Amino acid sequence: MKTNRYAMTPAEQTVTRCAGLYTKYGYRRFLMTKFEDYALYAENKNFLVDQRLLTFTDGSGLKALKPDVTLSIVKNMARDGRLPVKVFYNETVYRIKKGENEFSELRQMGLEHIGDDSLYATTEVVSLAKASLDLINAENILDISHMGILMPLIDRACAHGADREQLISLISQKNEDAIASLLSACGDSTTLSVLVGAYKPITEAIPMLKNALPDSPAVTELEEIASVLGAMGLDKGVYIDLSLMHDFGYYNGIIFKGYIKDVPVAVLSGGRYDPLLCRFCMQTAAIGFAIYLDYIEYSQTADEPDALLLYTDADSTKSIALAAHKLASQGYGVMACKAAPENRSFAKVFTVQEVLL
Amino acid sequence: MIKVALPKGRLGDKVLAMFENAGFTCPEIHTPSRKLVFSTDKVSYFFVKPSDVPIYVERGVADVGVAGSDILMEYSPDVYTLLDLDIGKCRFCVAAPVDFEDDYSKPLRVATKFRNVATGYYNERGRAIDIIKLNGSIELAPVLGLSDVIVDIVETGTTLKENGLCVKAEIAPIGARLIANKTAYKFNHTQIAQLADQLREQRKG
Repeated sequence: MKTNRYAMTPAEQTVTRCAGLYTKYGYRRFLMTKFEDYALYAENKNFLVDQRLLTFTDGSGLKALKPDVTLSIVKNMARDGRLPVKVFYNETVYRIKKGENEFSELRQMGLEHIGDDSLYATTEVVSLAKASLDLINAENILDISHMGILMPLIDRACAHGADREQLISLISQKNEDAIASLLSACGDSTTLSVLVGAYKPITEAIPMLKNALPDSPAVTELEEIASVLGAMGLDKGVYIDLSLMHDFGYYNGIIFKGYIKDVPVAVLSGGRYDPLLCRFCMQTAAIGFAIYLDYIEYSQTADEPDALLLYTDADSTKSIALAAHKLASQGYGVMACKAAPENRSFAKVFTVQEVLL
Repeated sequence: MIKVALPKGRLGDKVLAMFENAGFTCPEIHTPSRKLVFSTDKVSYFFVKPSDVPIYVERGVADVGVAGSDILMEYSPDVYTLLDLDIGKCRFCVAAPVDFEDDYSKPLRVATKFRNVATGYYNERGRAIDIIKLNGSIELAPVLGLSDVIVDIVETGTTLKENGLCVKAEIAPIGARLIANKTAYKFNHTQIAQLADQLREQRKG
């Protein structure tokens, strides 16, 4: 059922719908405070989208307004020690957006599955990411990559003398030509440039990856995930994009980003981050994703049609009320007026007589 | 329809010719007018200030655009760099008066339009600098004593020579790049990939 954007914004609709979806799969709401010890972020700065923080000092020491939620959840789980944990959150974070210099208050929803290293756990989170995108906007794309494919290829290129930082930057730009030229200059094979340049639906990409990397366990994992997504009818709009990368110190398995039509940046980002848990002395698996709610407000939603109900002094109060009720029950958002307001447009205009005929 | 941000000026004219050769023709764009946007069923072109092209593309107003790698290095926009178009070639250089010798006992005064590129270059070398951000006529700065050196784009070197300056170090080669918005690349993949392939063919030719 459509919801009128004047009653609920696209981001609010996302929160309601996704929370309902996540609870169906055993995830529970995780509520947290706005502050965190500064040290948590100082020790894990590469996990953050931007390393600048809003800090202040109180009686218990140097604090920061949360720029991220996952770190706090992991820290809490490490103290609690009872695993596995399946939680979702809907929180406000404070950070500087890319290309800007001022802090923003950003709304973020997300989900974390910690302490279960099964392929089912991974598949469940990936399928929930795709299902979340489907709830946000029917026109969506989920891009998938795997650190287990990228890391060995990058390590090999670096062993041949390629500059790691330069190579990673070129990969994220999908700069196929420059990668090929960098790899051939240092005598490495150009497989990486071909794979990074490719952009294919997952069903077409898996055979290509199997052919290029026949012994890769990461490709086998992607193949199994693709098969499950297909069986669940969630594989439409799922692509393999090996130019997608997260920080190598924190992510070690499948990684993904979600896009919706007409929003110029990713609205969802996630992946498997076992190395972060190692930093908190937990030898287990973790996977999750975040949805950037502020970007979803740009999404074009199909609103309920608005109808203008024009009445005159000759119409009785009862007839106006009945006409408005009739239109509302037909699915219109109704505005009853004597004259059309100047600041609004309407899909349809009715008179009371026309409606009650 | 594919939306294209082109840089105003000589480079934009060259790029437009390449796009039209790739089949994205737009007869209206060749008729004199004050219009800013030119569209057909297949393509919509608009010319913007060269340094603004990545902004239009990053924000998704344009699906693709053509920007100099100098601008991409300076602003690091979150876009795909799909192709080196092999045109608009020049160099990012450090230039100074011919007889200039660096005095390492004090910060080097660097005049430039490209603050991030210059800072990155000298940070890598651990050299203390004082950046002087200018918006044009950069060559004038060392001539009048405003700076010790400049970090700027050098095409032929004629302007430098005529003002008693010379290239002291080359930072990076520069050229025009085809860039794409990440979301647009995904939703219009076939069209954008086809365009990139056709432009790549022209580059080979």
